[in-house]
Amino acid sequence: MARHHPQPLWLSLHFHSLPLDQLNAGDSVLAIAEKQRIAFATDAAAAAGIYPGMRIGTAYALHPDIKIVERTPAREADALQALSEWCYQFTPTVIPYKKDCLLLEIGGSLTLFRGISRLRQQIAQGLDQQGYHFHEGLAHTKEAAWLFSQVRRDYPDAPLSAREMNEFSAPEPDFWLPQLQALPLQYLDTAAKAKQQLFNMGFGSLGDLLALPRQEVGQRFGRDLLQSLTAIVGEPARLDADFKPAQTFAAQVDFANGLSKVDELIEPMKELLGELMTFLHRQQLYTQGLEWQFYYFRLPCDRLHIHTSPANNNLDSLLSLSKLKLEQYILKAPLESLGLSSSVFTAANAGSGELFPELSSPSNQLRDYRQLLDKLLTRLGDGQLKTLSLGDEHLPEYQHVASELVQQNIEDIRLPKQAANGSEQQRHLPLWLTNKPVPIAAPTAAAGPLRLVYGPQRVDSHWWKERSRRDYFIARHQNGSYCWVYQDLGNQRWFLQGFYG
Amino acid sequence: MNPRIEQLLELPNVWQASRGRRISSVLPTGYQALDSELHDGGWPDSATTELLTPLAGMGELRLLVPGLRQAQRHRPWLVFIAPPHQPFAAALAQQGINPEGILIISPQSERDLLWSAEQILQSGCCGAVLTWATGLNLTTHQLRRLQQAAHRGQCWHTLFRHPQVHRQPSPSALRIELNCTARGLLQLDILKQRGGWSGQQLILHLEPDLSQLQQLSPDQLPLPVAQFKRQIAPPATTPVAPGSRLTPDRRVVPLLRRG
Repeated sequence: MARHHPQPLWLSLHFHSLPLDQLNAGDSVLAIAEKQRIAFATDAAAAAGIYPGMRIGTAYALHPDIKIVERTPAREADALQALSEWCYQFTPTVIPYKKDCLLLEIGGSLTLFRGISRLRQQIAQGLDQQGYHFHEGLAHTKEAAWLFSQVRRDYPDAPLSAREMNEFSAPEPDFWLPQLQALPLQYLDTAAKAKQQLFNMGFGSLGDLLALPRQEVGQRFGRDLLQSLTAIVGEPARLDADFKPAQTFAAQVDFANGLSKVDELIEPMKELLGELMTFLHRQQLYTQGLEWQFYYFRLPCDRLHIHTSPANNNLDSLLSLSKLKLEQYILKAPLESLGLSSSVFTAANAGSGELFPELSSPSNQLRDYRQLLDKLLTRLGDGQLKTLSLGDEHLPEYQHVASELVQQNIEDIRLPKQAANGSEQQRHLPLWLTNKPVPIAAPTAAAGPLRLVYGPQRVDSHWWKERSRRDYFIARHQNGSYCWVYQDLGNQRWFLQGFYG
Repeated sequence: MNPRIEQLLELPNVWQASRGRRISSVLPTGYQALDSELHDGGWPDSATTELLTPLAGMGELRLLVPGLRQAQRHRPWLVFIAPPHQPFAAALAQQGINPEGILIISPQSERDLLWSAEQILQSGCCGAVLTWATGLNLTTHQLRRLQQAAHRGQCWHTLFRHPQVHRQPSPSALRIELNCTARGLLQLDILKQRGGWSGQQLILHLEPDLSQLQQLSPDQLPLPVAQFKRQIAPPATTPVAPGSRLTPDRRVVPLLRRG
């Protein structure tokens, strides 16, 4: 039966005498010193009574011919790198670990190398030829494999696995559990202080620790120990997620006896808005809109939406906006409860205050203006406010762009630039424009209400769409005012398009 | 002088004819003739100015344009409340007013109009507010509220009203009746000014600047107009043969030169 997800199997190779091996020390009497003390010694040196931790002077006294070399971490790293490259022939997953260890995931290589015994043999032979000594550890997780390879430093003859293993497939995680439980805590890769604390509490083996509920371990000994424990056992880290505050705001006030006067709503509204402001402040957010819900005893719930700009994110503004909205609302029946919710937020930029707030700076003006627009739109509704801009067109009605202002794009409003002093040569356009060209009777010279006085100015445009050729004239009305009229050369009809206001 | 009298004279509400104290902050109207007639020497900056006009389009905006240009330099937003027509963006730009600073409000009811005017005036962020209340019968109380809002927000407020209300007492700082003379000039009657005499009358030459355009001569008129002109040409002043054209006829000029 083919297995889709083969169990991982980690082989840890601990090169316990890497500094010596990379020097090809062999049988010579040689030691490696670090900070004036012997750090590593060959077997021959050990036979002469030289052991790690001994002073260099003492070593020379014991064996005058000893060769002592200063330790070079860079060369050890190079050696480990070369070993990693050599090990890459057995598996694509080779991890250098702690400067003297290689972790090989061999679960996927068992079939290719015809069983775990042959694979290990091949690795051991290769390393032996290169002159490297090492301890093996085998387990289902990197961390456990590393631990077992550490144990073999003290117990070189301990079996690799407690029970007989299948040659061609990695065992289930449970297979390793008894071995892990028996593991003495001193091998654990944690701070000495934490280990001492564990010993003092009477914990001797990993099994003692694993028997405890994980959460308790985390609370008592810190999250680091918990994480290394779960890594060794291979459990997914079952940490409690951090508390994430709610992303929407909703609050409600209930009126047991029902509420029938709008005036009485103001206080509860203030209360709810206060809660919203606290919520926004804590989360450093601005609200872009809020919704009042009016729940009746029997009737369906009514909702009032209010759009707000960051400029209005304070209690007073929100309350006055709500009051404005409430003015247009009529309570249908006694109210059971009042709800407030808000879910559209933007991150608040902590604004910097003005040094002299009494001076009206342009940014203050812009903020005040946006606040004003918010208020106007809330009361008047959409479609009552328009802004002007210049279109780059030839026909007057397209040069003039009046766009409706809605609450969503209040934030896009910028400070208008200072206008240039106007083009000197062109000041003949009328200040008033009619909403649409008004058809009029052909003006005459003397009689009739309109008399042409200036013109014509020809505009020929939009030939790509609907060609319009117009002759513009300035006409004087009989009451003395000037008008802007044109004759459409296409159909010879006359239109009034503006007034010189 | 008696110091008590001095104290009394210091009060702003003691009327002292032309001796009265002048308001320091005014907006020059841009017209020398008008500035010199106004007691404060310009549009009152933090008050309502009433302009009584029978109809829109007789030069009332041209009268305000220099002031608006000045006001926009100070605060960039100009608000038009219930204007009778659309302010033409291209024309405003020609006059040196940035159309992007213009906000047009079209309230649906008188209540909304007054409310928005009051809010905008007292917000203190707009350079000028122009309100058209030509069709409305505003009470003195309502006018006072607008005047107070303009004062609070230090905003130049121009209120357009119908001339028929000129007898109604008004708290506005300045009231001017506008009329169009037959020759197309703007006639101003100052009905009231705060702190000074009223009753001045002046005529401003506010014709649109049309020097770029050519004055029409009848033969350039579109056909129906030219025909009509020919028919009504007065025979007494210029004796012309029936059927010939009225003024400069290009076909005739070369003949005269030859002669």
